[in-house]
Amino acid sequence: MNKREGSALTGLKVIWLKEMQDYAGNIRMIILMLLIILTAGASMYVAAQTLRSFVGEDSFMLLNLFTISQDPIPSFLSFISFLVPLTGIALGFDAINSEFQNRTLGRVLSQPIYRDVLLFGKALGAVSAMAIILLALWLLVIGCAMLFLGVPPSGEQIARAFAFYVVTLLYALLWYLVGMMFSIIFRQSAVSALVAIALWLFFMIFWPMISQLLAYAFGGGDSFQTAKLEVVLGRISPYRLYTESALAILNPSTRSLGVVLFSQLQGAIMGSALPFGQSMLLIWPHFTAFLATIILLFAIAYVLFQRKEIRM
Amino acid sequence: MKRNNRMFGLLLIFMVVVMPLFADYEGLSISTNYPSLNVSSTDMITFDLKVKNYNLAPQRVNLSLTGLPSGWEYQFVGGGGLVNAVFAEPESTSNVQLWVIPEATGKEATYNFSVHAKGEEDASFTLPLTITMGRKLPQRLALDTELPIIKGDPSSDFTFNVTLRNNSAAETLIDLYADVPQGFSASFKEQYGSKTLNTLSLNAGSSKTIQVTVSPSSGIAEGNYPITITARSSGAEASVPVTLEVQGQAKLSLTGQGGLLSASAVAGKEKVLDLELENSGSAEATHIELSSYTPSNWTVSYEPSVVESLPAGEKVTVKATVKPSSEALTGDYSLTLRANSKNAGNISEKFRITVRTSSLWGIVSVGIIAAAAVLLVFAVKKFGRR
Repeated sequence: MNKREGSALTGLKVIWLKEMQDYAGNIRMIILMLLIILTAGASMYVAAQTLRSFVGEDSFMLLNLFTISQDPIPSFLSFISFLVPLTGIALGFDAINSEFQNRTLGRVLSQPIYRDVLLFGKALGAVSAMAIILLALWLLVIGCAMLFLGVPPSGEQIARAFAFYVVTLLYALLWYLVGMMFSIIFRQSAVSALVAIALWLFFMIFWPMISQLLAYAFGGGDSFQTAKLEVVLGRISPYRLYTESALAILNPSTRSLGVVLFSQLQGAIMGSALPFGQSMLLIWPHFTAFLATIILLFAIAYVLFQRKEIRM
Repeated sequence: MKRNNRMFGLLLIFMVVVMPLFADYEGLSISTNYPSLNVSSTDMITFDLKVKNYNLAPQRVNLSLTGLPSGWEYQFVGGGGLVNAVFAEPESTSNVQLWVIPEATGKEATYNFSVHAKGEEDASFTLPLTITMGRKLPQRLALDTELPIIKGDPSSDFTFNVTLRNNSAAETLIDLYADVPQGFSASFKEQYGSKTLNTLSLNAGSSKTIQVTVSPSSGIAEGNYPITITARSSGAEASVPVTLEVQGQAKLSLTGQGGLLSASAVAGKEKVLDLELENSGSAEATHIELSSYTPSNWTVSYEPSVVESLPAGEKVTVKATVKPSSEALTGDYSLTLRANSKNAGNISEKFRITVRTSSLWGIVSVGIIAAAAVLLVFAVKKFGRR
């Protein structure tokens, strides 16, 4: 094993900017953007209409804009929780194997840059692209909130909206890395796309059912134990982690995300908002899980990529 | 038959007794309902005189008065002016008033004098009148109570039973008053009734027991508060003094430092609250026990847990150690702290305790992320060769 010469990050900027350039004109990105803007816009509009009827009754108006839904249009949050993973997978599923198929990988790596940098740069480029999309969307929401409701958001609401932004970005990155990992494993981009989407669907739709079944099977007939087990198993799904985090951030009166005993509620003053810091502490484990999973996924993808035979 | 006999007998008696009144008295007469008066004051005394002509020709009757003590004055008054004579038609009555203005002597004495009526042809009549001066008239209203002093605390009502007696000769309408200090209120009730009354009517010679309820204004100081209860009719007044002996009362309050009723605590960790126990009342509070009503699995202990004595106007600092349940949810809980004094009763105060989560898990999670990062760095080190 030879000792590496020079910095491992040489050429990172080049690849990063190149990836961003690719995404900017990408038809896939444009379609996804349109989809997000249309759906989010519709739910935003409906939420604003609903909110206008009780302006002034809530000190967290802006946050309500994210969560309020009116039949038949789901809330902004549910659209986002559906479309963000899709965006991540769409950007990541052919990150590496398309380079193989286009036979560009060898050409890139013949340049004086390391293989690590290719992976770093691609991930960085995707994160930047998604961060920009989401930031635009968030600014759109806050702008619309001021336009529709005429109430400037308070500092705490901005802080909470920003926390929601960070969590959403982490969620998108997680699914991007899943896509990228599969793009390293599978030579065919169609296969990696299908596997990534299957995993996403599994965690979003099937895992809640399975976790419930497992909880019943191993709960031992005790309803409290069953409920606790169901929560623990359910949180294996990143979808659940994301929706719980969003709930705690966007609804400040959320005091617990797990199973609550009646004795814990005795004497509790319901409906009072938690301070921002306490809400963050509530979702801190979720946040940790996201970050750790992301690093872990990246590490796996890195190891897989580094050990891959790329001469062909 | 027997009954008829009795009826006849009654009729006979009636004839014998009554008929002579209707016998043919001829001449003049002067009459008044009350020819002898007892008076207490030296104001003007009025006699209503009736001059009647029994079967004489219509004539003028001259009036005069003799025997009046020197210094006294008199006047005959009729038709709104001073008169000296009246005209007496047969079988008719002329009314005239005699005003007598006595001279004040201050002594008890009896004065006799006569009113003379003189008509034509020797027709005359003399009416002797008597005035007794200086004798006290019986009080026409009386008011008294058996218990003129009642003890109590400022928050209680003071109820006096007073007996009102009408000693006058006629049914009288009586108003009731109580002269109370500012902020006090008094109400009158029949002894076994529920209706409050301010005015009542009382028959001659009868009496009635009335309940007078006095409510002191809240927060008055210890001391005696005299009150006068008065009954007043159109011509008489009676009053009885009563006294409220108000005893001091302790009034406790329990707050956090500076009146704060909220605090924050970490779930499962003890938190010491400095509480102020204050007696803002007017008497000492004794043996104050501190207790609490908490959500389940919370504990509250006090140092000291019993305050033996707290003089009026003083405050002590009590340390309350609150330990939220280790399973308490983040956010606000309501906690009731109580102080129970032997003589000042119970007070309770709701505190809002904001439970915070320990940030220990935050540090642990940073460790987890760091471990993942170390793993990545290790991977880069190990596999970053090509």
